[in-house]
Amino acid sequence: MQGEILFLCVTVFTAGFSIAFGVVFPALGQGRACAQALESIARQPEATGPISRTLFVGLAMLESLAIYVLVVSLILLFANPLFRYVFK
Amino acid sequence: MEELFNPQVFFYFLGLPVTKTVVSTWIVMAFLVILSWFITRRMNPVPTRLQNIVELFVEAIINLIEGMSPGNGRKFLPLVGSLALFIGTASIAHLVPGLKAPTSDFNTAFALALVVFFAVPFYGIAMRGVRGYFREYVSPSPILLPFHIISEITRTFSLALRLFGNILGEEIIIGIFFLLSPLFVPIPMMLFSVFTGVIQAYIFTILTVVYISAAVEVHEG
Amino acid sequence: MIRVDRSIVLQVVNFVALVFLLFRFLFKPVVKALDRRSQLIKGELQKIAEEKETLEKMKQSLLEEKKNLKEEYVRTIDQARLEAAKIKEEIVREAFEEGEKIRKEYEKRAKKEVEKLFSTMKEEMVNVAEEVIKKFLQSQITPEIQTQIIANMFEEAMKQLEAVMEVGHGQRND
Repeated sequence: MQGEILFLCVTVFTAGFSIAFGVVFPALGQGRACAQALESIARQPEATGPISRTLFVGLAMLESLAIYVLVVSLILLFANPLFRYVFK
Repeated sequence: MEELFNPQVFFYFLGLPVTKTVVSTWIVMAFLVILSWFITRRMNPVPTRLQNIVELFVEAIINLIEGMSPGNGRKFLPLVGSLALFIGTASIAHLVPGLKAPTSDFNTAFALALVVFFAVPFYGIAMRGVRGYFREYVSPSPILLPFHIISEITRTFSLALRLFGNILGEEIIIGIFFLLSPLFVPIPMMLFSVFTGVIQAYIFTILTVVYISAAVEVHEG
Repeated sequence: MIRVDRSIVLQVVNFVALVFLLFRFLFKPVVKALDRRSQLIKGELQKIAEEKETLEKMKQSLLEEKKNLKEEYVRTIDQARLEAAKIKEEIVREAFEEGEKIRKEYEKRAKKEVEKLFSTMKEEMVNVAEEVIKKFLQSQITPEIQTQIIANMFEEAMKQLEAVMEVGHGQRND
């Protein structure tokens, strides 16, 4: 029983920790991208269309990193394939 | 909560499980088809209000495609327009009581990404020929062939996971808010989920257009 | 949840069906309507251009007509002026002729008068001569006195004649 509780603790901790840390870096990247895009738009308002389109694509790419983290933590919490082996 | 992750199976159709997701997809499809039939039943040269909205949407999609792959707006319109419309509608379907957002099921998201995965070589071969399309995989050198293939596969997964993760995350948050306080509190989150759904539809669409237009682009030399 | 089960096949079929249904019910009619409208607008624009052209032609012809009318107007006025000048000349000539006629008549009359005067003068002179002869015959007067008398008489007669002549001239100058 000890080992199983430890497994649960580690799983929950890892899920929360991965969300907490995995979200920081994409957020920083997105912030940078947004800031640069805003600066560019302020400098060249006529290029708003292409800039915002590229910004959206780039944000989607960065967002997918955070989404991978979310998916991993969701798997850890709700659909952990290792549960089968720990809880027979 | 459990319902979110393992949708209820209603019955089996030819051995395929008809889950709540599939039924929701049918409802969304029926809604879209009936609405578009109703609007385009009588097209006037002078547009009515609803017709104007539809025309605006179609023109926006055509312009989006033309911006990245000039001259192909009409060819990609059915696939790209259907993707945008379906994801946009499906991602906010969970606001209707009793429905589940089909895109928050990984099966739906992955099915859409698979359609894009097969549509890219389909359009590429149709417009550049088999040799012209597969030459892209070994350019600039054959060493890059595995990387091209890996990139194709990972971007398919990335498309599916992005859509699914966003919509599911939104659904989970709304579910948690509902558990905490079912009255009024989830409403801002629901509004935000509309925004997320539309943004995800836009991103999925624009990425599809990027992939397809990269596949049909003719390189000189 | 992230497990892919066999319902993915259903979803792919669903989506492909949706693409075809939407193509049939949404994209085809809308694109057709857009094309038809652009065709319509093109046709209208062409029609407008054609109409503009005809209007331009009409304007051109109207302008030409206006120019012609102006020319005709100028010509008519010139003609009228010429005619007026002719009429004026005619009137002046007629007036002149009238004047001439009147003058001639007066001249004639004056001449007649002069002739009459001349004839009376002649008679008078004859009378005077007779008287002179008579007087000469009646009283022996010196030849100096005689010549004096004759000269006086003659001078008087000349003066009278001159006066008459002057009257005749004055009448002619009127």
